[in-house]
Amino acid sequence: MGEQRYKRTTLKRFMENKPAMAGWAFVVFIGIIVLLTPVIAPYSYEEQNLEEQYQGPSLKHWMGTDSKGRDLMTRVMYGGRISLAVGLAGAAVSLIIGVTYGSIAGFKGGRTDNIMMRAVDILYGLPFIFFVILVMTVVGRSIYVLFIALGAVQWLTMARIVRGQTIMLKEREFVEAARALGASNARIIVYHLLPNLIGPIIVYATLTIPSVMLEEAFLSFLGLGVQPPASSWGSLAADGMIHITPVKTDWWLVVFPGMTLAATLFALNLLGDGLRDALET
Amino acid sequence: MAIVLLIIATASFFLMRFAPGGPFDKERTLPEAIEKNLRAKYHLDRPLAVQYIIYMGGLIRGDLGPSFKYRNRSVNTIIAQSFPISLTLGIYALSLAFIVGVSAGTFAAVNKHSALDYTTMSITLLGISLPNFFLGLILLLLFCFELPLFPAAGWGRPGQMVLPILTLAAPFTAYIARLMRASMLDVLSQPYIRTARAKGLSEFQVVSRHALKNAITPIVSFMGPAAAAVLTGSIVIEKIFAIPGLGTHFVNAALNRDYTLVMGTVLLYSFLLVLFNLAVDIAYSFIDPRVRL
Repeated sequence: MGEQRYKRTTLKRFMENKPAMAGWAFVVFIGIIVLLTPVIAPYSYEEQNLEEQYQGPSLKHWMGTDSKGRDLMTRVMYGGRISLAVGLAGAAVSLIIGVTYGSIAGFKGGRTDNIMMRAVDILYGLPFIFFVILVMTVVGRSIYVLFIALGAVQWLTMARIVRGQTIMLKEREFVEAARALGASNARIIVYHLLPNLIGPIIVYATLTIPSVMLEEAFLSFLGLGVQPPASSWGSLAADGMIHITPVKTDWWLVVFPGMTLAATLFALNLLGDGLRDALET
Repeated sequence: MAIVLLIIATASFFLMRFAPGGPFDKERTLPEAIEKNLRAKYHLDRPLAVQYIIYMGGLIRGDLGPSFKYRNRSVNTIIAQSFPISLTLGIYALSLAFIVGVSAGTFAAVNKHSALDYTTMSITLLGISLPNFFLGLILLLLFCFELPLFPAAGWGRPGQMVLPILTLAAPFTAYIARLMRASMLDVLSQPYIRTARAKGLSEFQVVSRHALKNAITPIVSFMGPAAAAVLTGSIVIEKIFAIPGLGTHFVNAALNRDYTLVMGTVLLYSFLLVLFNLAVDIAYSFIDPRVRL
């Protein structure tokens, strides 16, 4: 009964938060578009039309065309699939590492906790993206390496939050009860503690997606991330940058991929903040 | 601190050495004798443990080894040439972000719920969400090509420095402004501020003499992560505005698999950050006497 009401007020609080709802609507919109891309894209991804190079936005090509006469809107739609996929997969990797690490540190407590969290403090101060670049240099620039590496450097905040919550929860009676019934530590963590942490975990996973996407865009922009023929919003913007010269500025090649990325990141951040506000207090 | 650096150096060394493909098996195959000589020059023919000791020995003496790509230059020379540029860019950007961010946040907090407050907060929200390569490209389009106010590339003259510094500083300015506003609002609601006002001090004196010092502590602790982000941000900015800084060399080194240069840069950046975080901790204990080191 009480839980039902709690859920309803949480949902209500979220619905009343207009920026969060706008963010949610935009994320759903982008999600539907990238899911349906193979069906609704106006042109094919690779199709070149050398008679229509460097065209500005028009009714025929809403976002213009690139150096090989390919439709930019189609490429932005396909690029979105990669950007979002990397964001989701990276967030999932960070979630798995962060939750495992944080719940173990919090549950064990004492010296184990001290050492584990001290390590997190140290890692916080390091320029992580350089290590991602280092790993990508060494292992090769594949998209799987990309999201695993990005996820592997994004788990610190998640670990801190899960640890804090675990410490608070582990003294409660239901944990005592589970232990009295003979449950193992692993069982207590997985079946009794984690279900109670689902709120903060969802919030921070949501907020991790845009930061992974931003880092992917950053790497792809430098040519160190997604490799051709695949493209993401970051690499599309990088391709576009080559065509901005004092002689001829084909602005649409940069503005549309960049703007789509910025708007999506903004919407995801609004959504994450809204979820946090609704679940907290 | 030394241990952290040692771990980083060791980890990156082995990561690099276990990488598939050496730095010489690229465009064309070299005659065997030359390749052998090259490998000998870079100690690649020695056992791994010996290579590690040679590298670490050099590191202790501050020698980062020879570059794999630029045959006749050492990593130290390359860093010495390009790092001052990145450092200047970073210092200007951080100072700008600190000064503008703190003042904007304070103004917004003092004029809470005014039009000024809402405008500042909307602009900062935008500043946080715009990826800085996008912002840089937009500024480049607008102020170098559409309205040719600034040169598009290069480094050295003041005109060339304006746009890169602005772009690099933008997200931190926005973040600091938001942090400062929240912290200032918190401090202004405390009893000692009421006392200061009751004494008849002007609002300006209350804010600048009494509130500012306490409100600024979260900003100081944000400077550590901010410095890390400025380092990464400057890579992108250097690419967009064609600045010959260390970031540009780092990206090229990563693309060319110039192992020693990549490692040298990572080590230098880590070292700087560890040092900077230490400085932040010390500054913290000066601002807030309750904090003991």
